[in-house]
Order: sequence, then structure tokens, then C-alpha cells
Amino acid sequence: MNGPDEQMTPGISPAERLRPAPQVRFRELRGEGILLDLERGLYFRLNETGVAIWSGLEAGLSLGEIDLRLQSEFEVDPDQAWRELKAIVRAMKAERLLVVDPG
Amino acid sequence: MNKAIVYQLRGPDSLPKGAGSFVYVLAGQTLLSSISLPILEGFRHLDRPPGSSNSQPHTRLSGEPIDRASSTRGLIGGVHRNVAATHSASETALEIEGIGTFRLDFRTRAIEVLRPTVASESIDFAESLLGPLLALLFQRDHIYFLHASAVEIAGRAVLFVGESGTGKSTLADAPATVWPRVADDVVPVTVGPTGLKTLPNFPQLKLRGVLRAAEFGDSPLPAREVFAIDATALDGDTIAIEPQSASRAALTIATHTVASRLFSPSGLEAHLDFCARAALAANVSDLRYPRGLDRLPAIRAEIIERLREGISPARGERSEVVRG
Repeated sequence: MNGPDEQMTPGISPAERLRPAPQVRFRELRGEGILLDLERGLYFRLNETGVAIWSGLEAGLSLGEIDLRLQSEFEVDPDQAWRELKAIVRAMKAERLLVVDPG
Repeated sequence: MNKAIVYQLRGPDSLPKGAGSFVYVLAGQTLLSSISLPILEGFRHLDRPPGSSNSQPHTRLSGEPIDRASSTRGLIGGVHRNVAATHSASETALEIEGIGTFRLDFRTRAIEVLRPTVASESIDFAESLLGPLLALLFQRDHIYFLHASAVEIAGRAVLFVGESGTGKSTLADAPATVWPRVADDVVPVTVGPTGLKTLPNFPQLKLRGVLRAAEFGDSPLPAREVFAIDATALDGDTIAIEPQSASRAALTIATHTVASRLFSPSGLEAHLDFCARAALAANVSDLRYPRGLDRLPAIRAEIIERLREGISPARGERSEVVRG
């Protein structure tokens, strides 16, 4: 699922549990999605992979569990699934769309 | 037909009083004004609409907790101005740099002019009213203003959106016998069970001064096609029309909604729903074409041909989180 360099990516690990930030709203559109940050008035768009990840985060899954779901739903190999998940989660974090699940 | 809603505009004591004396019909909605707005004379109705009354309930900004403050810069009266909004549950205070301070009361659908710094007869005042003030007030009734040009083709409105200077007005400015104009700068729209539709008779102040309502038709029109003009000119003769995916279409509509950065949190959430529904109800396509006035007839012909063929929504794109 993830090689040594991925394991060392700061803040993104399979065990990590992140949640949609409370000020962010999501709407699904023909399998894609749009996000709105109510505090900043900013809109974002997600493709099908992004929607699958967002749905997993909403459902309370860990990144590792979402990774397994992506492999199954999109029939992609483990490396590709983890790479895409990591890139999207990193972008969502950078845009302050996620918070750490307090448990 | 959209049910007409009555809105109010109230002037301060420094302006001549006459509560509800002036009746204007904009985008099919009624505006009762205590202030004469000569610039909108073409939209004035001499008869009071049925059911309206001179005695309107009046609500002060009443110490309600403020739940959001927002600000943006906008082009009003040819000048980029700061516009700051402070929202409580049922009211918004709006300060427009160099124009004045206003209170919007959503319970009574009223705009109260608190501290005007320009005359109500001025073009700056009219642009403020027809821009952020009415955009915020109408939004509560699910009417949104799109910054767009629009024409009528085969009984439907076709909208052109794009950044300033991309040529949307020029493209829409075909002879009226070819493409009757629906709007030249701001298009009031709403989305309902029958899809997206434009509302008629909204003043267009952009290039030609105030245009009379009659020039822009008098009926709502279904709007099934929106073209987003890409500022990137193509080489040669190529005219490119590429359907946007649903998520891109929603962001295109969000980006071109007037005053959306001033919406309250509940207004933003309603706007999100509007953009999602509009993106599913209309086909939104990227439009790129070579520059040059001599190319306009060919571009218009291509648009008509594509409308005749029908434009299908695009599939989604590669994985990404893209800010709109």
C-alpha cells in the first residue's frame, strides 16, 4: 500500500483519522462534488476519487480504510490508490478543509 | 411565471419622504421606494401593486448577535470600492465605500438607506442598488444575479459569462433580428422544478446607460445553455465549444454570481444549493474563439449549430481539489 517514503510523509499515514472541517459543506453532482467553506466563502470541486475520499472521511474511516475502499471501487493498484489519496488529502489539508478527529 | 414579491427601499430623513410612493418593477419583482430613482424611470409603474400598503413594518438592527462579517472589492460607478457586510440572523448592514451605509431587513424585505454620501439620482447609487443591495435582498427569495450577457435563441435564453474584457457583450451584441437581447451585464435567474430561468426587465447599466425594460423582453425564459468565454484566444479559425463537467459548471456559476462574497453563512449555503441545481439544469460549456470582430458571425453560427445538435454534459476529470 505504501512504501518507506510515503510512510514518512508528514501528517499523512494510514492510521490517521481526519474529518471534514465543520464549516465546510459538500454537495454531490453526477458523481463529482463541490465543497464550500462557509467561513471564507470559497468553493472547491472534487472529481469521483475526491468524492469517494470525502465520503470516507464523513463516514469516519481512517486513511488506510479509505485507501482500501479506493482500491476496490476504482480497481486501481495499491500504489496508485495511496498516491492519489495522499495528494488529495494533502490538498484538502492545505485548503483547511479537514480537521484531525479528536477520537 | 415567478410570483412577484414586494421589496422596499426607504430613504433617510435627509431625503424627501413619501413611503412607497414610487413603484418600480425589476426582474418581475416590485420595489416600493420612498425615494425617487429617476435613473430607473423606464421601470417605474404608476399603479400601486395589489395588496401593497403604505404602512410597512419596520425593524431596527436590534442587537442581534453578529454571525459573520465579510468584505470584497467591486467595480461600482467605474471605481473599485470596498464593500463590507455584517450579518445577523435577519439583517445585513452594508457599507459601500464612497456610496453610503445601508441596512437590509430580510423580514420585511427592505433596504434602508442610513447614510448616503451620494445623491439617490446618481449612477453610483443606482449601480449600488442594482448590484450588491438587490443581489443580497433578492437572494433570500432564491433569485440570483449572474454577471453575464444573454440573448434569446429559439425561445430560450443563452447566457455568456466571462471575466471583464473577454467579449461577452460584444458577442451577444448581434442585430436584434438575429439574437434578441435578454441582458447585457446582469441577468437575474432562479432555478425551480422547470429548471433554470432568466427573469425579465432588469436595468442594464453597463455600457449604454440605462436601457428601457422593453428592450429586454417581458417574460421569463428557460435558460438551458451557458457559455463560459475563455480569455485564451485560439490561433487560426478554430472555434472550440467544450462541455464542462457538473462540478466545473457549478463553480462557473458560483464564480459569476454577483456579490456572492457578501452572502451570509445561510446565504452561502443556499447559494451552494443553487449552483448545484443550476449546474444540473443547464449545459455549461467553455467557449474559445479567435479574436476579431469579423469573426463574430462565424462564432454565432457555430453556437447555433451546436445548440441545434445538442450539447451533452462532460464526464468528470482527473482527481483534484480545485479552488473555484
